[in-house]
Amino acid sequence: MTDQKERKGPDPKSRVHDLFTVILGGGAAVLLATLKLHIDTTAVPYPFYKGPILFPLIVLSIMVLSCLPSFFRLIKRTSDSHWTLDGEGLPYRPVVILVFLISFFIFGIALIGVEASSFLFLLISCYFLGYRKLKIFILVPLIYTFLIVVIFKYILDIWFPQPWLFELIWG
Amino acid sequence: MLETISQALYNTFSLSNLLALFFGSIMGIIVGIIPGIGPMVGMVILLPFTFSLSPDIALSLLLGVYCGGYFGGGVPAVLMRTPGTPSSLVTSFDGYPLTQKGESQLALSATIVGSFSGGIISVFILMLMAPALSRVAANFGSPEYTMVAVFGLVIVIMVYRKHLAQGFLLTALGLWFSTVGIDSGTLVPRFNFGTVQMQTGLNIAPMCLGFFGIGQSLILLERKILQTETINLTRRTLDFSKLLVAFRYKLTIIKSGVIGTLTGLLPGTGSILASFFAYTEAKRSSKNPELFGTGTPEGCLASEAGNNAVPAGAMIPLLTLGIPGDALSAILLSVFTANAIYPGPLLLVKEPVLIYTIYFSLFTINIIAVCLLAIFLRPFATIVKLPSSLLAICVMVVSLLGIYSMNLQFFEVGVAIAMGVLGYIMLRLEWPMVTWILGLALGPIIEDRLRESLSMSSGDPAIFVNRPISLGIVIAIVLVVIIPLVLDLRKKRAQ
Repeated sequence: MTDQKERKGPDPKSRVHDLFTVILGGGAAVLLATLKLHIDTTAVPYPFYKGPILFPLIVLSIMVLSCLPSFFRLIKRTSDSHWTLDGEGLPYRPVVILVFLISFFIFGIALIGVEASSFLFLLISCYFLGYRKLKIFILVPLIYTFLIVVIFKYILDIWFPQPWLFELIWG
Repeated sequence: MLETISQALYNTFSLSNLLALFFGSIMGIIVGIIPGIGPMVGMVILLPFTFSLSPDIALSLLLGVYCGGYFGGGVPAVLMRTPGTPSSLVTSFDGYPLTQKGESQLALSATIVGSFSGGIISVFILMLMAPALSRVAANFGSPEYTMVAVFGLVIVIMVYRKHLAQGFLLTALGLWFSTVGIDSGTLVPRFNFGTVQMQTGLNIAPMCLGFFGIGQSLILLERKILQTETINLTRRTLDFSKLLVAFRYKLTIIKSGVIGTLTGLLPGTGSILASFFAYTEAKRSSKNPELFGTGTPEGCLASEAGNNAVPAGAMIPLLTLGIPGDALSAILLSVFTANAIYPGPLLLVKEPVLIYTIYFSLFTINIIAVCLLAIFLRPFATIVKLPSSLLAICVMVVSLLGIYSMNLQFFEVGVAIAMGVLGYIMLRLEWPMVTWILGLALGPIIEDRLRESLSMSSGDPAIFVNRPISLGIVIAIVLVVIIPLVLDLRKKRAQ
């Protein structure tokens, strides 16, 4: 019927959960410790309960408290815990490539324009995803770029920056 | 009253609103049919475009996607045993066996009739319950509102108590994100990290688009689950004679619609539980319970009526209390607030035309969606053949350009990418992401009401237990936390 790939759910003994929980909680702890640097309360005449600091204080404290069980689990090694998320692990390569491509796509809009940037993003993505048939490899990026340009540039009339590279070459 | 209704009817059937309903329903059915995408991604993709629309049209568009998504989700569940939306999983219990018996038309008829009936019944309940609940909510002051919002968050966290710490963490993270930018009460900038762009706060649209749209696309790229070779459809359109067969199960339809609406009303319960409850009840009260699971149209009907009643059910707390019950209605809340409309008990008094337009639009969406699916069944069903990875990169491009087009700021696109990576991690870890978005949506409400409450009592937090309604909600919160934990503990001990 399908080439559907069964995927295992996260393993409860995986320490990856605890690690991410602690990273988020740790970030909250840093913000909590430096709260006065992020919220200037010196010029505020209000009492504490009406001021801007109360609510962030509460939510950051909740974040820190909720990461404590994970923190203690993380520092306490048990024999059966491990660092694997599930049977498949983390697909570092495709995710890194994609995040790089997305970032390139965004900078590309300013650098070479939305048309070229979209086309290149789709083309390179198709290549990395294993599409080699000309119909998909060339036609899909071409048609999709055309649709995007028509919708965003002409129908919605969205302003896109003048391509920096073109300005540099042609002035 | 009559003037309001006629004005709402005029608004509903205006060309622009009908176009929004039509386009929203098509988009909803498409994203619902594609397994792994779902109405949430469809709604967040359209969200940036809705800010330039009038509120009634923007809401019609998003409601079209919301309801259309549930309609579409049943199609691949029946044809391929691959639910388009998670809640359609229950539909596949009986839908796919029927397809295997060569009765795919009957299964699809039951699925579509179920979705339609559930949708219509839930709108009637919404119309009845919203004014009643509004009258109750009219007695609420700031302490009660604070506690109702906290109650909503706590229910959602407890629903996902398998990841209790992460639920609290993500809720608080969402609440914290809502504090970034200039504080509305004191005009003091908070957490802007020296950047000008963060002075105005983090916009909900790029964050949701990143968290759900890009995050989900990364997951789709990772799991190539969509390719299929065959679709067992005997004809291009729906066999209309089978629709009449499905309508024979009147009692199941009504019961499932009511169960779905009431489940949708509770924050965090969602459509999966609604379809499970409706299916279980239909099986319990059926004359032939042994047929459930082997291929009975009644099972498909119950499941779909249950899950399609959820959108209107979730609108009840949103419209009357301003509290979104799930992630999808949190998106709708952002449309209201972007247009300076604040849902709550006074909304029905202040914006009666808008409310009635929403009611009529919900009716119309169900009619449009059922017609679209019945007539264009095969073209819609063929969508599941599209390769997931291609769809994922297309979703990403539209999402990113959509975010840029909102404020013409690359900064927000950067926010979306960062949130996309975070969303991907959360999806992989199977953390309750709904708690994050509810925290984000409810953050400003809770903070403002908390301050007002404390101002009323000169800083004394006892105000939350000194007022009877607020005390009642506090007790409810405590019970919602304690009861499931005790039951879980007992279960564990028994095992």
